[in-house]
Formats: sequence, C-alpha cells, structure tokens
Amino acid sequence: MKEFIRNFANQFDDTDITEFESETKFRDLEEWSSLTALAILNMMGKKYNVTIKADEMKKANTIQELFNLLQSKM
Amino acid sequence: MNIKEVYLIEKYGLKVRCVQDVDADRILKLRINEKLSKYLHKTENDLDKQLAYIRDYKIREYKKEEFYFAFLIENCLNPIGFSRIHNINYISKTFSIGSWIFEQNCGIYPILADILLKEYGFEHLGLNLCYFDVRKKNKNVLKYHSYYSPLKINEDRDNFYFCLKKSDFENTKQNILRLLI
Repeated sequence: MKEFIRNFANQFDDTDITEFESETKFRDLEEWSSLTALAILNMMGKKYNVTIKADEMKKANTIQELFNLLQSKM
Repeated sequence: MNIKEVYLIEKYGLKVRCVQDVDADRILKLRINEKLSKYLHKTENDLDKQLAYIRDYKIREYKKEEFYFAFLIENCLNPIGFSRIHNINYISKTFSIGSWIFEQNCGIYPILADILLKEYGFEHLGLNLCYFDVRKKNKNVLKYHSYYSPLKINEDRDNFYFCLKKSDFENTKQNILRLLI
C-alpha cells in the first residue's frame, strides 16, 4: 500500500506528499483533474500491468479503495 | 435561450457545436476564473469585448480558417468547456490548437474533448500536423501531451512549442481511449 500511495502521489506536481494517505478522498484534492485521473490510470497500467477504466475508477473514493480495486484485478 | 443547436460532432458522450454570441458570458466566466485560466492568455473581464471577439471569430469560421468549439454533455444546457482550432493552413496541411478551458469536476470529458478536437483537425479537415504551446509550469498538461510524443520545436522563457504528427496522434489515441471509455 505504501508503494501504491507513493506512485499515486507521484502523479501530482503541486500537492504536498503529506496529503496522501490511504483514506485521502483523492477527488477532493485541489490538484485533482481529468489529467491527473488519466495519469493515475496510466500509472496503474504501466506499474501494475492492470487496466482500470475511468468508469471503474469512479467506484473508488479513497486511495485505499482504488488500491483494493487494483488488487481485485491483479 | 435562442440558440440553434446544430452539432458538428456527437461522439464520446460529447456534443460539439461552434461558439455563438450566446456563449460569450460563459466563456468569460471560465476565462476569468483564476484557477481555470492560470496558464491561458489573460482575458479582460469585459463582456462586450468577448462578444466582439466572437463576432470576429465567426468571420474566420465562415472562411473555415478557425473553429472555436463549445462542448456539451447530455442533459446539460450550458457548455462544459471550450477549445479552438486556429491557424488552419490547407496548403501546408497544418493547424494549431488552444484556448482549452473546462469547468472543474466534469470528469474525463476535457480529455475526450481534446481528442475530438484533434480528430477534427486530422481526420475531418484532412490536416497532418498540429501545433500547440504549453506553459512550462503547466506540468499536468505537459505530461498529458507527452503521451503522444510530440516534437518539441522551440521554447522561450515561459513556453514549450510542440508539433504533433497525425500518425503519432493516431498511435496513442487508442491507448488513451481504452482507459477512458
């Protein structure tokens, strides 16, 4: 999970690393946008070899929930 | 609202029409929003100037020199965003894109709109090269464009200038769409 949070946080440029925790509601982050969403989908494909689509991502509100979704497809 | 709803494109859940007078207020509201327009050319908070700009643009649209698009989604009366194809050269088969601005919290539609815009230039207009510039500090947008592997052709203090080939766009587009829809 720690590694996933780090990889997730790396997709943001201006958000302080301390804002990323497992229970962080990522859509509430100031920097969240369609571009960061795509960067995260792309990161999950590249780093974990799992394709998660934007519609599937909508089900997750927190980083933990997204990680759970990722794990369910590994 | 007295607006002729003729859509040029309906694809990826988006409906696209050319900007009209009635959009002036909406464009202005987005473009004077500090967060949304952080990396755009500054716009004066003057509705009359915005209307005048649109009226001048309509002449360029009539000549097919420029297309300023409004993007709408189902069950939404107002456009969620705007983007523009300009500097169209049918001889050198080139075009530029810019003025991309969207509401916050409209999901993945801003990216789909960018893809639609490029499709319009490359496929509908039959052009081969797309030029655009990105502020050096706009890292999220730089990262997004880098997926397509555009050629960096110039830079100045604030901006990078890129050129994207149709073939590079086509190669990457499917990979991005696979994630989005």
